[in-house]
This record gives sequence, C-alpha cells and structure tokens, in this order.
Amino acid sequence: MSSAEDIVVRAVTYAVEKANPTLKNLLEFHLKNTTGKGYELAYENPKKFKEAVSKLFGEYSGRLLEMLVISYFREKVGLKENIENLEDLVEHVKRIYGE
Amino acid sequence: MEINPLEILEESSKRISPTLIEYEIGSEVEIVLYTLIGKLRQEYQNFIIISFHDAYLVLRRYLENIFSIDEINAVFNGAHLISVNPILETEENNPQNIIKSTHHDIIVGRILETTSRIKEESLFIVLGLDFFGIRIGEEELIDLFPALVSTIGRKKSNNVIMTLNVKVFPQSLVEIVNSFAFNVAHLGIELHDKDIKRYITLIRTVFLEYNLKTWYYTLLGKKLVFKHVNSEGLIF
Repeated sequence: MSSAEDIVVRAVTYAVEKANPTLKNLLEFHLKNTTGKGYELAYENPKKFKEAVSKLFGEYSGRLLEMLVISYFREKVGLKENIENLEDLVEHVKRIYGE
Repeated sequence: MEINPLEILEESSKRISPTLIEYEIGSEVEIVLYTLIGKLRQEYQNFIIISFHDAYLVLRRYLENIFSIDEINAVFNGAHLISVNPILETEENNPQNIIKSTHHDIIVGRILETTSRIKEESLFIVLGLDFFGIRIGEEELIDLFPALVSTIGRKKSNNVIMTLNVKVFPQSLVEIVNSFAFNVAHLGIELHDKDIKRYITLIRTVFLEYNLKTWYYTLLGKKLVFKHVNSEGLIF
C-alpha cells in the first residue's frame, strides 16, 4: 500500500469509527461483496466508493461520512485547502505524495 | 389498531415545536423525513427549507432513487429554499436565498431577515446542521443552534423540524441541542449478523404514553412500515 493510499484508508476508518464503530465490518463486507474491494476503494475509485456507501447507508449518511473523511485531513493532517469532496481530496493527496 | 410513530410525531409537532430527529448513520433518515413532511405539508401555507452545505440536494438525490419526480414535487413544490454555504445546490435547486458565512450571527440574522416577512403558519425543515458542525466546527454549531431555534421558533404558529446525527458529536453538544427541542425522536440501527434493522424511538413528545416506545421500520415498496417492539423486545 502506498503512503497516499494508506492515509486515505486511515481517514476512512477514522470516519466510520467516529460515526459508529459497529458499522466498520459491515461496510467492509458490503464493499467486498459489491465491488470486490475493501476500504482501499476510497483511494482507487472514490466515486465508486461513495456510490457503494450511499447504497448501504443512504445519501445523507454517505455525505456525512465523506465530510468526516475530509475533516480527518483538516484536524489530523493540517489540510488548509478548501476541498469539499472525496474525489478532489484523493487527487490532492496523490499530488502531495507525488503519486 | 396499529399505532404509527410518525403520526404521533406529526401531531405532537403541530402542538409544540421545535422537533429534533436524531439519526444514526444507516438509519435512512431521508425516507422518514419525506414521509413526515408529506403528512404535514398541506397543513401549512408556507414551507421553508433551511439547508446547510447542500443537505437538501443530498436528500433529494436519495428520494429520486425511490420516488418519481411527481411524487417528490407533490411534497416539495412551492418550498422556499434558504441555502447556507451551498456548493452544488445553487445550480441544481435554485434557492431563493443564499447565505455564505460561517458565523452564526450572520447566518441567523439573514434567516431572520427572510422569515420575518412571513406572516402565515409555516413549516420549517432544517437540514445539515451536522454537516455545518463537521465542516465549520462544533463550537460554531453550539452557538448557532439556540440562536436559530429562537429565531424561527419564536412564532407559535411555526412548526420547526430539524435533523442531527448524534453519534459524531460529543455527548455535551447533543445534550445542549436536545434541551432546545420539545419533541425528540431517535432513528437508530441494530446489526443482526449482516442485516441492518432500523428503529425509531420516541424520546419526547406531548403524548407521554408513547414516550420511550420503539418501533422497527422498513421500506416496503414506497411505504414505511412500522412494527412495535414491546418492553421484552418482542415485535408486534
């Protein structure tokens, strides 16, 4: 796993645990069942990841999780840029890590 | 006769306001809100949606996967949309008012400026307070919430319904928010192996006999179906 992928997966794990830790395994199971990938899908294909999350939890909860992922970067990594969605965030992280 | 918790909440909200719908991730708050608004909409001359950070857009996207545009419009047509810090909502939902600020005094002041012109009975839906709390900050949410409630809830004829995810915020914040709501319902989930069971608990309503009662709910076709859970956890 690359450094950029690692930090995105960590942020997603943080978001799910903050929202409801009991959902961590369920979401991973759902992602693997529907896409063949785990949390790394957030890094590899953020749009598909969001669709899968919304399908399981609903759009509102999906957006809330997305905002929690971005807040992880603001609070823990010191993100200053005005980023509003996961796709832009992953692109930004890839640029920073030169990937 | 089967008791429907949304009808209890509906009736309670008409008698006393504001109403807070606490929800957990995965509880599909969208469908509960849509059903509740559908019940209340016709009884009010004005319908005002206050949407923080595109929350109304997100709500509509979910509903569009389940209902036809006509069914959605039957509930939302004629609504006055106030978008606070929108990103995509500006283009997709044509809000009547746009507020771009992170400061609670400015946001509430602008909302007051719009709503003070409304004289008749009004239904208010406040969406995305949790988005605001995550994006802007918990302290700002603590400042915003009481000011907002007192601004739009000051008229007795207003029915104010708000949603908030309670798991992502500290208990102290949730208690502050709860203390400003007269009706409180909690939408939660239980995991049974790999299945999600969704439930609603009426925490506070004017109908004391139903408070702290729980119902499981599922979406059958386009209809929410409730099953009461008794104190032993049995479903009826």
